[in-house]
Amino acid sequence: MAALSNPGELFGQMVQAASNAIGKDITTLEGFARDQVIGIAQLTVTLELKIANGEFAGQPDRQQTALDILRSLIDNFVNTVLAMSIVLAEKAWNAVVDVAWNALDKAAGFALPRPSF
Amino acid sequence: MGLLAVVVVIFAGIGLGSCAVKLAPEFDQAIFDGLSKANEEAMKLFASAGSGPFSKRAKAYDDVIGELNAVQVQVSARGAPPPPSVLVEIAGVLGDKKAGQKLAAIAKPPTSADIDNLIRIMNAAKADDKLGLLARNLDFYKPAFSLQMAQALAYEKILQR
Repeated sequence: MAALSNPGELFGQMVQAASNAIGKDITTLEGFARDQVIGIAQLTVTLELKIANGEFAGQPDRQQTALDILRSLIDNFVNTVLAMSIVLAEKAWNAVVDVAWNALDKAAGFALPRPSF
Repeated sequence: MGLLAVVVVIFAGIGLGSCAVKLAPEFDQAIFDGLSKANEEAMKLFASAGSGPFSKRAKAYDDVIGELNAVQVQVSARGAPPPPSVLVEIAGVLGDKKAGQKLAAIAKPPTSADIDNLIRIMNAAKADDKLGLLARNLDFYKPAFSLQMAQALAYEKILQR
């Protein structure tokens, strides 16, 4: 019988694999989110000034369009961060399953079928 | 590292206990390239906004909007994977009979909504340009377009896995 994996070592390998798979992406996501929040805040101030200065006076449709653009931009930002996180979860999942199945392969003595993504 | 360890434990449990699933669409170079091209054309258009009459730029607006509509069709054709069956089952056990629909909505790729807003921005800029109002509102339309495009490109880029 093949030697069983040490749970602590296996856990460490899983953490490392997940870190390798998504570590750089997390940094990218953080930078993206920071830039977006700063940009959205600046855009909000720009629109605030336009409304205060009467840019849309007597033109409620134009004002509503600008508000809709900003609102969608914020909605889409939140959804994008969520969707990017889902991709990172998939990558982490994949990496962890890979480590687990490598250990299981050793116990079985042959390559077990990988879960299909 | 603590949070990562928790994520690892959760996904290790799910991964070992059931079939793994695909959580996001495949990267499509044509979609990424189409967005990049629309971005380039839009930036050129915004750069020329202050010079000459609207009639000289009308076709350029239509070109950008047409390019974005073409990418939208590609995004629709790509589709998205269904939500993980294990999560649907867990939510179903917890009593949520519409779990599949709700999870599909949460996990919906954002690109389509991004493109809708990019088209909305271009249409609004075009309408303002026609009225001679674009030059003083470029400080809204251009950053709005850039931020929205950055969202779309960042998501599409991360699909390249």
